[in-house]
Amino acid sequence: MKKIMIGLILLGCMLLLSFSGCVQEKPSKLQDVHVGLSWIHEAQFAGLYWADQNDLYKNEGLNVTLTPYNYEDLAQKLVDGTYDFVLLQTDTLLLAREQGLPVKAIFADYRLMPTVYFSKKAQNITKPEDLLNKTVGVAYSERYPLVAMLKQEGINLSSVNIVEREYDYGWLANGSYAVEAGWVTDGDTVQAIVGEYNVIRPYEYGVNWYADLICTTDDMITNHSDLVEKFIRATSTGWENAIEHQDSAALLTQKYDPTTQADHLKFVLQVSSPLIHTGEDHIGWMKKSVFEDTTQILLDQGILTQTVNANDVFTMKFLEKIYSTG
Amino acid sequence: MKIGIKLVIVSEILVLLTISSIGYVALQIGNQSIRERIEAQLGSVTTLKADHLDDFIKEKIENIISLRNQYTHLLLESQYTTQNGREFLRDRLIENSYFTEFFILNNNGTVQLSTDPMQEGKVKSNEEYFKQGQSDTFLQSFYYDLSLQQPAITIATPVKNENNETIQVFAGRMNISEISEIMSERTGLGETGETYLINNLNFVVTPLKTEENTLFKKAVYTDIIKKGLTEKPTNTQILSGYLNYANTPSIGSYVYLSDLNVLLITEMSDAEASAPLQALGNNILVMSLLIFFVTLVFCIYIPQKILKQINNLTTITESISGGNLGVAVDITSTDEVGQLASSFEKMRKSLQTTNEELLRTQRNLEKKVEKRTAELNEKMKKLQDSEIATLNINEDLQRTVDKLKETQTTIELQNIQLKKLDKIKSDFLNITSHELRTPMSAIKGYVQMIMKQKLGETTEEQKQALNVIIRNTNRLDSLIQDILDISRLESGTMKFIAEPTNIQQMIKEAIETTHSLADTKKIQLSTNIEENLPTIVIDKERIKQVIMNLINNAIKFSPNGSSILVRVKKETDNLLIEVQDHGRGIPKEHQTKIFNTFYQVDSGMDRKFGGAGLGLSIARGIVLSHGGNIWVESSGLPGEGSIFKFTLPLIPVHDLEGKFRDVDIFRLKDTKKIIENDLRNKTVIWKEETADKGEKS
Repeated sequence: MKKIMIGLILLGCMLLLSFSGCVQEKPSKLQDVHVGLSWIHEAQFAGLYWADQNDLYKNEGLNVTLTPYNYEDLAQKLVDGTYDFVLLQTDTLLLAREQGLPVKAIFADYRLMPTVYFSKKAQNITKPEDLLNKTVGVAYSERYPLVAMLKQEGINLSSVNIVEREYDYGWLANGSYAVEAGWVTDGDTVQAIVGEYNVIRPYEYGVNWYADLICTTDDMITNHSDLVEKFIRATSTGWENAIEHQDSAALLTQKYDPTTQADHLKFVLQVSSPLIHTGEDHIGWMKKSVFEDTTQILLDQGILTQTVNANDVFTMKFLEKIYSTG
Repeated sequence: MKIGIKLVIVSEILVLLTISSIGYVALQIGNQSIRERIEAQLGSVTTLKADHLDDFIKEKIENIISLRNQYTHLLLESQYTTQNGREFLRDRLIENSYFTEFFILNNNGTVQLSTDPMQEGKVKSNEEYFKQGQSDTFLQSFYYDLSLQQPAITIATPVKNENNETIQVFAGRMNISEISEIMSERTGLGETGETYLINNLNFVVTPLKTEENTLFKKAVYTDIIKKGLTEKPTNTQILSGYLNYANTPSIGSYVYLSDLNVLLITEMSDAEASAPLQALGNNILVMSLLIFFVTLVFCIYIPQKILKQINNLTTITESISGGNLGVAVDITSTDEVGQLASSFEKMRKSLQTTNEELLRTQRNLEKKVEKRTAELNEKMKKLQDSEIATLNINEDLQRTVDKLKETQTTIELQNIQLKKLDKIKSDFLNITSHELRTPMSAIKGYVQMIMKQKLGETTEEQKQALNVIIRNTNRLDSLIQDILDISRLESGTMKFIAEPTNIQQMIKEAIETTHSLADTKKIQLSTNIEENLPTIVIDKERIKQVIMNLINNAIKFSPNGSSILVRVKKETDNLLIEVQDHGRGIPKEHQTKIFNTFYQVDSGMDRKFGGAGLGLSIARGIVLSHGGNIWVESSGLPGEGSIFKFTLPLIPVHDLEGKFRDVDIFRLKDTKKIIENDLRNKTVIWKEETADKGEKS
């Protein structure tokens, strides 16, 4: 009798277990999302990493693949469908739009420009007028804010020697260049190579644009808005957590690139956080005036040949919806 | 279950119920009171902090305006130089340590002068404090200052020339350390209570108690913050039962500070808020347990004390029930139980006394019983003798009954024989009457023919002889007719023909018929008939027969020359017909018997007057058949005569023959009744005798 009772209890337990297994929510198939990053794996993408590694994307039904930059035309790849989302700089976005690529910003990672101009502390170059008669090494689009800033400050461009160069802060160390452009996130590298340094931040002199704009196509925005909203919601939450838990968030980078240094990653996010979360608006928030000002800067410098309607390069509908619902 | 245990259980249940009820009510009241107190406390702290911040900000704004005025005065002086202005700002910064920087912006938003030389030349044209500060004093609250690398608050105010044109913007930047200190002051907030500010973007802008390095980094979406930022209440509100930023169940108050665009929250953990309630609950529990155990001790001790006395009483009761009344009750208290014990002791003593008396009485009774028993035995013996005598009487009675039964059987047999003889007699009379009438008719016919000399001439003597023959033949014929009637009456074969009859006419016919007989004795026949008598339905011939019979009897027994009166009168329901004569009368003792068959008052006399004693019996039968009655009234004295009366009902009687059959012509029923009464009387006498004997036995 006792054995029969034990057998019945075991049978009941097995039935309960099997039943509970049956009633568990069957995970629906995740939707693949490919994201083209604007740089190699770096803590500047900590918000995305957080969302990825804490299942924020998964909880939205997304299987997100974060692909590091590989010197490619991200806007074109976006339009081609290689990526569903890419991270572009404001100038790149405007140029792509000018070229007729149907891409649009939906979220701004860096709301203050991370581009700065490093110099040895001993040089005491702390403001644009200090650049007079100095050689400034720039790469890519780092020239545009510099020129804009100098113009803003009324400095004659001919009095500043702006030189195109590859990234190498050794020239700053050996004095080849008095000033080298770079992202503020390179500060620890500069420190390591140059020692104490000064920076000139263009946004402090009225020149600012967004960096690492999360962009997608008009088609995605129009026809797959649900997917876009899910992705932005998870990314936004990821960034809020990354800002709150900066050190741990920075280290998430190592999952994608184990060779990255922890201290560097922490530094990157530490100096990036005030630029990402300015305290003025919500994380990711964008303003039309920034795009208009950037368009003007690029027009002034002949980068853009025609005006790009700011309304065509970004949309706030996802952010507004997300933040309105808390 | 023993009564002591019952008492303990019942008492403790009552105690528990009481304690629980009081505890519940106390906790409810306490909970409400504590909640109200906590809410008031939180609300009070929030209001105080809000007021403090408000005062602080107002003071700083006033400071900036004051400095702006001083600066404007300096600026507009002819001796103003940049160096003077810078020194002015630096001096003021030293005096106002809670400001971290004073700076002057030109109309392009460029920092012209600053207490921090590094800031000079920087462009703030996009900053809100510059845009707003150009027209009016403006406070930009809680933004992240990249230059300072920390959250800051900047107050900007326009610098205007004599023409009231804005020529510069005077700004002072504060770090939020002083505000943080205000918010960190936790007086009245207990262990877990804290106050902090949240900006419109849900970010923490003042330090949190339990988490570090959260300024402008931690976005919080707790219920109180969502509610606060949605409602933006300017009066303090309370919210409880929510999870705070650390997922701790909390109670908090909040108010929106519109000057700073931040939400001020004061909150404390539910656990601490309800700690007094918990303490109250613990105190109630401790008190309850104390009361429980104290009452338990009392409930055990007191009943035990009482029960000890009761048990003592029980023991003594058992002793008393066992017959031992000598054990005294131990009275140990003066309470109710003691009084019971005292009363019981009195009762015991009383019982003891009574018992002794009872014993004495018993002994006396036993003696009396012995004496009475002896007497009873003697009486019993006598009674036994009486019983034997009674048994003898019963045997005698039984024998008498047996004899009576035998007599009854004999009588019944005789009765059967008599009935047979009666039938033979009736048959004989019937047959004989018929057989006699036939030769009688021949005799009468031939005698009348001889009398009428149709068979030859007859002499006077022959004629006299023949008259005798005819007279006797008529008598004989009448006798035969009566016998036939009696026979019919007796056998129930008498025929009646009922018809409406004029009684007056009928009387007249009867008178006429009997008139010749009356003439022979010179008796006067008269009538007295009431006028307007109704016609009644009767057998006219039979009733006339009755009247004629009564008249003939009257003539027969009346002296010569007397009179006979026939009277008829109407009564309520009857006609009363009377025939009165002045004959010899009828004695009282014969008045009812004369209607019996063959009855004659005086046999000698009746033979003298002729008749077999059947006429009145026949008349009675006819009258009774008509529903009437017949009787005679006479004093019995000679000369006073008799009055024969009979009645006829005015309402006709149906079924006269059937009625007639019920008439007891020969009064046999009367005879039977006499016999039955005789027997009954004898039985009663016998029973009474038997009963007397039984009683005696």
